[in-house]
Amino acid sequence: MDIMDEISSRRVRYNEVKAQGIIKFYEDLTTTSYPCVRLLNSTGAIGCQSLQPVTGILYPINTSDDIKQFIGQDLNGKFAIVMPYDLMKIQNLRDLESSHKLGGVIVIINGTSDFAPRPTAFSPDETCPNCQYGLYRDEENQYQWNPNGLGLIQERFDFPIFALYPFDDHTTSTYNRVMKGAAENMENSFKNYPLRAVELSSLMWSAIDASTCLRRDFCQPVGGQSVYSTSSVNISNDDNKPIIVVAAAMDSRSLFHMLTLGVDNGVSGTIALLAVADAISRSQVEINRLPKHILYTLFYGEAWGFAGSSRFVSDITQFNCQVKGSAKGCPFKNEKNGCGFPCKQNLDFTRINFTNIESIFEFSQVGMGTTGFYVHVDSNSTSNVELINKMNNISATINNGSAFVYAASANGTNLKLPPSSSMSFLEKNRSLTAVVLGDFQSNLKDEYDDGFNVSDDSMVDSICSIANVTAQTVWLQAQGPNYSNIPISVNLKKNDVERIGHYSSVFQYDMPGWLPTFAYNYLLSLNSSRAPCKASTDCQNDERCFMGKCTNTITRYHDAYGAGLQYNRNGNAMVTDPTKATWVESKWGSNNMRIFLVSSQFNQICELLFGCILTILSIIGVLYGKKQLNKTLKIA
Amino acid sequence: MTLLTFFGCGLTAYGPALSIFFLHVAKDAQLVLLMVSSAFFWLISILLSSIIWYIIKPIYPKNELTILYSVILQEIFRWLLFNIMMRAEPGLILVANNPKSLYNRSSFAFVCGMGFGLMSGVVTYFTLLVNSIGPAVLMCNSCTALTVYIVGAFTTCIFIFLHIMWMMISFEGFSKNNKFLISWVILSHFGASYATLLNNSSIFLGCVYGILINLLILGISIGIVIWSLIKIRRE
Repeated sequence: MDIMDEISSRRVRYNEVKAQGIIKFYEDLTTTSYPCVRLLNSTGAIGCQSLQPVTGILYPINTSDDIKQFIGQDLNGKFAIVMPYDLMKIQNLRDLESSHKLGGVIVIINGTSDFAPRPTAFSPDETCPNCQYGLYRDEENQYQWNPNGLGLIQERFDFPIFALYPFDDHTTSTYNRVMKGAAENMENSFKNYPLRAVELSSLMWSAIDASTCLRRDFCQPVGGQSVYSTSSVNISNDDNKPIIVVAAAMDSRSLFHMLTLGVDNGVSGTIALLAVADAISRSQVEINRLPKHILYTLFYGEAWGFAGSSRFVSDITQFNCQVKGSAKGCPFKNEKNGCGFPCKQNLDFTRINFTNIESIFEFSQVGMGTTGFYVHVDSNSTSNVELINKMNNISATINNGSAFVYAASANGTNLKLPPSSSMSFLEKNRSLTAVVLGDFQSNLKDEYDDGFNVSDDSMVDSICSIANVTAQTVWLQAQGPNYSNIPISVNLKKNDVERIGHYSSVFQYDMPGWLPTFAYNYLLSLNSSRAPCKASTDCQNDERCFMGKCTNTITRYHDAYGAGLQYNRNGNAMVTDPTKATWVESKWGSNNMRIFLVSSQFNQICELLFGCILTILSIIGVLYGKKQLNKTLKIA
Repeated sequence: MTLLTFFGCGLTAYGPALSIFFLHVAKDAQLVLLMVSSAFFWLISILLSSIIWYIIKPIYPKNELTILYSVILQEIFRWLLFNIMMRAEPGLILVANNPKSLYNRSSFAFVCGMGFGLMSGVVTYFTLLVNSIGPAVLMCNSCTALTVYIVGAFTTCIFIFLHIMWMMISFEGFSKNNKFLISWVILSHFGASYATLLNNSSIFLGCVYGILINLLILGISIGIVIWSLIKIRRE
């Protein structure tokens, strides 16, 4: 589900319930807590699920010593551990689980300064994210790009984990509620009832693996809509004009999907790409008159096995429309340029000829490049080296003589490509020129895949500087020797990129997420300083009317879901190639969190005994009383 | 594990009354029918109360007012039930087990009271009892060591017996036109009902006072019933 819809619909529901005054025994905290969700692929499951709602007494843990103490402590019942994010390590969680006292876990991502302050560096991802789907998957001893990765994302937890992330009034009040409950329980030594407990339910319908789950219709493919755009409105499959691809991934991943906030990863590259597109669109020369095409691609679902890029590459290399017009399971009934099966809204992507692709510029993490950027390449081929040198020179020209873009292999070791979308292209043609630009040389920055690094001015500067170099290089590449400087004015507001949840969510036809919609509208409106219009019919050719102007770009969404998945003729997704990415997300039964008081089991047993004794005594009393009444009053 | 609470409180609230029902009333079809029809009378009275509550919005949070008119309505329906019983009594006595017994009217009053009591017990407490299946408890405001479930169970148990006694006393009072007995029923009904407000008050150990007052009223009522039964035999 889309995060914004999900949160707002939950809020509405919450307010309704509150208005009716039903909340008495329970306080619902669902809207202000973030669950860990179950995902599956062809081999198994990751993430969290509990088959039944779990009630746990709140128990605060602040250090690893507290964990040992909890495990050794003589306590009855199940507990919901409240702990800071930096204690979220697989070993800690498994230790807690094996104590048989664990009900669920509540993770405080950014607590107050005295409890659970936000960790400065934390990566729940693997040591080499997505490498099992990458270009070097068959090589032994692959380089581990994320050595500090904890591997949490790839773990399967059969108990619920919820995150608290106080950032506004609602979420802060929930945080305070939980922390106060935990502190009260501590005062009562976790033994003097009533104690404050929470019920965590992570009921997911999924079971076994992706293919089983899809067949039972309890899962949806992870993915969404990629966006591609070009100003070459006349691009065609057989025009033999070389294509320069500028690429970036839009999404990233985290243990808590709604809190996938990393700005450096994902968002920084997306913004750099939009900045490049904006700069080049201001070119004095008409872009579609250039000797080469420039194609911008923003891939979605990349964090889950390069879903967007591999789907895009496979579609532009081998797409065969089997049923033209409308077809069952395909929502696009009236598209003149669409395909019924395989279901596509339009076939404009077939105008891109893969063999014409000449070079690829990809933005990886580029938000923290204040000390310089590194160009990663698969091999030091002549064309790759030439491109690196070109970028190095241009960066020197921009920065008063001192270059800030270097070859990643400048220190003598070529670590080849970090996990990136370019791999999907190189998969088809290893000799393509492809450069991956990043702010890291050998290790992904610590925030990889889950950064909460809030954007600041230095990040904006970083993105602008690499966008500037790239725009000029692409420009130079596209027009041949006639190089002219183009001014870049990228005006980013830091608030724009703050707190954007950018987990890709699940694939649905014609339902692009927040970020793809933004990118689509941005790219579509470039070059739009043309004829005013009211509807698309006012514009020439394929142009569309967007915000009162005829747009002069081909900008389209492109389906993004795992390369190992296909939709069949009934419109149902199924696993077709288990060796490729097949990530699917479980449908949710319930994902709730509520807080309340619980009484001790001793208390409950006393209540039961009292009730039983009272009933037995009254049976005896009735039998005896009837006898007595008969004797004295002769009633019955 | 909170099924423990459910059964514990359920047995506390309804156990004594149900044991009387199964060991005494259920054996006699006539008594069961009487019980059900009196339960229906109580239900109408509470339906009218709830309609008033529903229509007059400012009453919502004012329990004192709600108690006032619902007790009055219950007493009115008790009087209506008595009048109908008087019309039916000759026929009822004719088919009774022991038509010559002096205590047929008392016996009818007893089961009518059970009908009132059990129905009020079900309506007022059962929704709360069902909640106890969930994991949460709510502590009683005035006695923080007890849950609202168990306090409610005590109150329900006592009220079922209060209804039995009230019905027997008021039948006696109505038939003999004894003003003292009738006013005792009405006043003690108000007293017992308002005493339950102590449960949710902020008075320290309020629920204990409330239950003690109810037990006291029950004790006096039982005394009155025994006194009148003995009086019937002497006549």
